[in-house]
Amino acid sequence: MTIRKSVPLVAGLFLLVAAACSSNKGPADQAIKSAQAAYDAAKGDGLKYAPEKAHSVEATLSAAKTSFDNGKYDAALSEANSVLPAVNDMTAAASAKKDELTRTWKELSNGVPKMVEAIQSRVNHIAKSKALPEGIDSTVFEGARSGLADLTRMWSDATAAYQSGNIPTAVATAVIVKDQAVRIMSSLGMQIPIAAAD
Amino acid sequence: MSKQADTTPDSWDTTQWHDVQPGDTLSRIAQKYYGDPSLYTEIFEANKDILKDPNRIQVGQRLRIP
Repeated sequence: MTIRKSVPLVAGLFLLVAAACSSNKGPADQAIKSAQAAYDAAKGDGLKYAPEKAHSVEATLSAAKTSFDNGKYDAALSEANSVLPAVNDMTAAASAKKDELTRTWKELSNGVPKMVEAIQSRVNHIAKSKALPEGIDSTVFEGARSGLADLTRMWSDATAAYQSGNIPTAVATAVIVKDQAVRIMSSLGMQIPIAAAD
Repeated sequence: MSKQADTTPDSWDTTQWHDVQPGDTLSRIAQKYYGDPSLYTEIFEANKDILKDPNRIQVGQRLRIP
């Protein structure tokens, strides 16, 4: 084949490919918009309860937009079409995590205040005493008393976080309170609830 | 000091217990937990459902320590 004959052929092929690619411009644009809308609708809980999956969806969306901007409409369409299943996966994972954290919160919010109350009662009784019980010196007792104030403050923070819908922070704070309550109860020679000792 | 019984229905139950041992009196128990034997009345009040007389406790009784 001579060069003179091959030039039109190559040009024709180029135009064919370009036409095929540009034929997906509209669908790719639409798919990206749909994918973005689906993600926007679900990203609130997604970022809160399944952040890794949410960031993965964002990366795919970003790749689709980059492909589109570079005129790679087939790739953009393919990437955008993969977003919806990923959003569904993220939504399911977020829902499962939210349910798990809510169950944990309900359990902790049942138990931790009882621990704080028990510590308060013991501290009040020891404070009335003329001497400290055997095995508890003034450093331990003052540590328990100041720790109790911290527990009360942190539990208030945890409750406020839950009431504002920030369940991950509420649970994380509640676990810290529970662990600190266990330490204080141990330092005062108190028995630890079975659930808190796990 | 014994750990809370495993049969407790509420695993978050924070009731503090003392199993009465030979030689125990409410005063000695108050001394052990509070550091002050005169606080025995607190323990007696918390266990009035099973104690009628603060001077009469029995080995094996399980007392709440408020």
